[in-house]
Amino acid sequence: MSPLARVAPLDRILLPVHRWVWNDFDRRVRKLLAFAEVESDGGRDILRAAEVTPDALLRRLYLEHAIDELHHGDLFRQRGAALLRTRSTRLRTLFNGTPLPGGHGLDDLSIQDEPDHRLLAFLHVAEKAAAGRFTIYRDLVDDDPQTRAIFEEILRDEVFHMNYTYTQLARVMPRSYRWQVWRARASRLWKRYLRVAAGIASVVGNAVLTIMYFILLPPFAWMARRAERREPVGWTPISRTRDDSPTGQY
Amino acid sequence: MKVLGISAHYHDSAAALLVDGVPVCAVQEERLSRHKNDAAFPAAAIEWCLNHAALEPADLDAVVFYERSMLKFERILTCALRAFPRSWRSFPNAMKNSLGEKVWARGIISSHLGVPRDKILFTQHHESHAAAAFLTAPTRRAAILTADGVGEWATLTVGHGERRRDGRTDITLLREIRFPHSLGMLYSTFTAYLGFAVNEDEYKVMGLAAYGRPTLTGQVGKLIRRTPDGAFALVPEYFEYQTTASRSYSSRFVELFGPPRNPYDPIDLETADGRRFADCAASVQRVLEDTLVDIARALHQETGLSDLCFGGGVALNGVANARILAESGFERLFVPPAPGDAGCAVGAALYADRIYLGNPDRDVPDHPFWGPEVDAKELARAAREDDQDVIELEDAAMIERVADELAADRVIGWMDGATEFGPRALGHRSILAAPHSHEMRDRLNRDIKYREEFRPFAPVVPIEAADTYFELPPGGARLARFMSGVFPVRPEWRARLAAITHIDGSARLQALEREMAPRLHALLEAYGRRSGIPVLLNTSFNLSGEPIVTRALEGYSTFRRCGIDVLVAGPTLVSKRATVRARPLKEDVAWWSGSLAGSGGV
Amino acid sequence: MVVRKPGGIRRRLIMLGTAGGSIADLIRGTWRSESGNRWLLPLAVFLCVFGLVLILATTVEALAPFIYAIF
Repeated sequence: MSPLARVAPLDRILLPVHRWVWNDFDRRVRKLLAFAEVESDGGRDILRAAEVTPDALLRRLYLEHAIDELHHGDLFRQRGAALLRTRSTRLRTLFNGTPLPGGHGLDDLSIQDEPDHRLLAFLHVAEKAAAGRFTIYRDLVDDDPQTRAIFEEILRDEVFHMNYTYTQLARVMPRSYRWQVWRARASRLWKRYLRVAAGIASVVGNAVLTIMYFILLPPFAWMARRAERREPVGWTPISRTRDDSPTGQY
Repeated sequence: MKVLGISAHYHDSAAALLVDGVPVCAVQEERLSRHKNDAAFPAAAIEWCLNHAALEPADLDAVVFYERSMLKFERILTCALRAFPRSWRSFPNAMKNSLGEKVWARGIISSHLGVPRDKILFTQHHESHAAAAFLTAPTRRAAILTADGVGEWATLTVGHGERRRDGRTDITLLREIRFPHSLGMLYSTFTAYLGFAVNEDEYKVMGLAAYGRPTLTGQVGKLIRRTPDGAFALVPEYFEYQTTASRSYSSRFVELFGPPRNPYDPIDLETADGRRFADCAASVQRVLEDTLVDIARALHQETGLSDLCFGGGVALNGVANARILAESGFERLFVPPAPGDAGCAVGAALYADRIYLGNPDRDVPDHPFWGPEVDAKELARAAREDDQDVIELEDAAMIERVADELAADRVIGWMDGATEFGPRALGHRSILAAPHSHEMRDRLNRDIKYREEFRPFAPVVPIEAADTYFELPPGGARLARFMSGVFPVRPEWRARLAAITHIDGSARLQALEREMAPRLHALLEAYGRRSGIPVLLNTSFNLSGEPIVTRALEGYSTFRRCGIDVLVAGPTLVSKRATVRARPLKEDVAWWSGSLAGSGGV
Repeated sequence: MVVRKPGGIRRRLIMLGTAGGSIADLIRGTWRSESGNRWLLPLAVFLCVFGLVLILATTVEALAPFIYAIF
């Protein structure tokens, strides 16, 4: 294990959860495929950073970083797909018309609007956290040498990513690079809270709407089905007198 | 009068600006945000359009949204009610999705642009499609057909339009087919079943169809029945998209066609499953074509008009378009370069300008190049900073040099002028290559586009030479203007055009007029002088999963990441230098980090 | 930079401010519609009003869980 990829205390606490995820075949496949999307999306975001930065050296480094991330995405995708092929799983039903499982790599940042130092600090903190977590995952997939090898390879790249983001941050902000890292950590923490808050709000919202669904909707559902039976099948003439006010949303 | 059109919130959002009745610019949000099929409110696209025309939001006379969001909400709610109680899982998400943002289109526009309420107008989704198809076509009277997944309620409409001599414009949609009966949704359901991404990969189904035989049309026929009035109705038991956002097809559908494809498995046409999937694609393709041809034929008989304008996402199906042209009785078929939802931004603006505001008719320039221009200096600077080989050439010398490179089997990233509006690369943001060998096709698939082997590449040919190499029916060249039709490659040329000839001997060609893209036209001629065939392979300048490049630096970063040999933007040509690579850079960084690693940061 | 980039809160407040007009559009449109679905109005309007809570919740992300506590 790289000395640079230290495991965060929170991840140590969450170790049983990580074990629960990685010990189950379906959850493992799902996780790998989700990582594939996150890494690919992250890669595309870093690519964007390479395209907008005015700094030539950073452009080259971002480009290398993006290529790594996109490659990681491919590795995860190929491994997930290979596992998926080895046995029939209930995961197959997930792909019925839904977009592939996904996420967005650097969703928290609007790349175009971020100065390089903020992006570097964010990337450094994020890469460091990812390296710590991937170290745990690597150790949890001991029974699966190919998946373990992927984590090994990615961890080697993560060291490069952690290093360059930090050294470049020191180059572009020689006086305040440490402060930038702390700021990125605080911002990450806050965004984590916002994600949790949004998650709770989403769960509560779903619950409220589900209750509404069963309490309020039945009479309307009956009316809707009655109206549906009266609807002609085939062409519906478009009335020339239809009230289409240009400013109306209906 | 300045009118801004906006399409947003479902897929492929875009903005378009009309000044005095003529489009001056249009761009999809994805081309600026770099998120493929970006459906977000197109703030960047609007900003670019306004900057391009040096306007402030306050200068706008109208901002037009491409559909009526409250009418759409009514449809979503009604469908949830009809599916009660099966819709209980999807209901909360559908409501949050709609009510959390989408239904408040006026508020969203107002909050971004600060324009007063009475300047914010709305058209119906299919009116926008109809206007985008009819008002951009060089015709004065035409029948109109629109077809897509769904707008508010309509999924397919027919009507007619007229641009009168006195300057007035009429667009009359006569009748519609309503959700859940939808050709677009039928095709998308098969797209999902075949393991492709809905609303994005429908063209893969069309490509795959050529490998199969339509042996399952009987089964597909069980899903869609024709109604006595000449329309069609889907049989709801086979579908679930009308009740839930997470499933397109039902278990009865699976009983009929067998297990769906795992999206992560490659399609192997040597296996029984691979052939079954290809046959499914061929069968739904055949049913789609037959249905569209019947509807178009009836519309021709009803209107007696010689021209048909076809809009909506279904109009991206080039094989169906070619059959409509050949079999419906219409002499000319016009499909705009952006027939899908992005094009609705132009359509909504044109509809409001001509119909709501009653402005006089104007001819719309007949080209697809409405987006940001490429900045060659930006490319030269970046490439020099990275120690790449950069040269700058006069136009004529550049054309000859690129033709030489193509003749030497090099792959060219070609950026020229303003970017295309719509999903097709029509010569301003293209990857160009020699079209002669299977090896070139395989190389592009393997090293550059990273995509499935079964997908064909398209050719571009000067319009005056198109008939030599391709079997174009009357009106075919027009359909090929924006790569909207698939036509046979003449048998005697198939072996020499192997990279662009699909398995069934067809190609989705672009027939290029000199006026539309003079530099590419000159390049085709120069290449023709070398190879004897003025045809090039033309594929969009992007990698798998990414939008087509817009700026020079996006082209450059794509060039650096794949097997493109030469990159051209205006007068600048960059050749790839193989030795400029990653490892030294990574080693340098590892060395630099030595002094900082111990300082607690990393 | 010609397009306003209002902060999330301001943007949501403007949306809330125009919501009344949008709901009025819905009522007017449904009432006049030839499809005879006036019966849908009470539910649709109720849900739109609930939608305002959703907007409010996303306006102040950090307080979103507490806003739902209204219910």
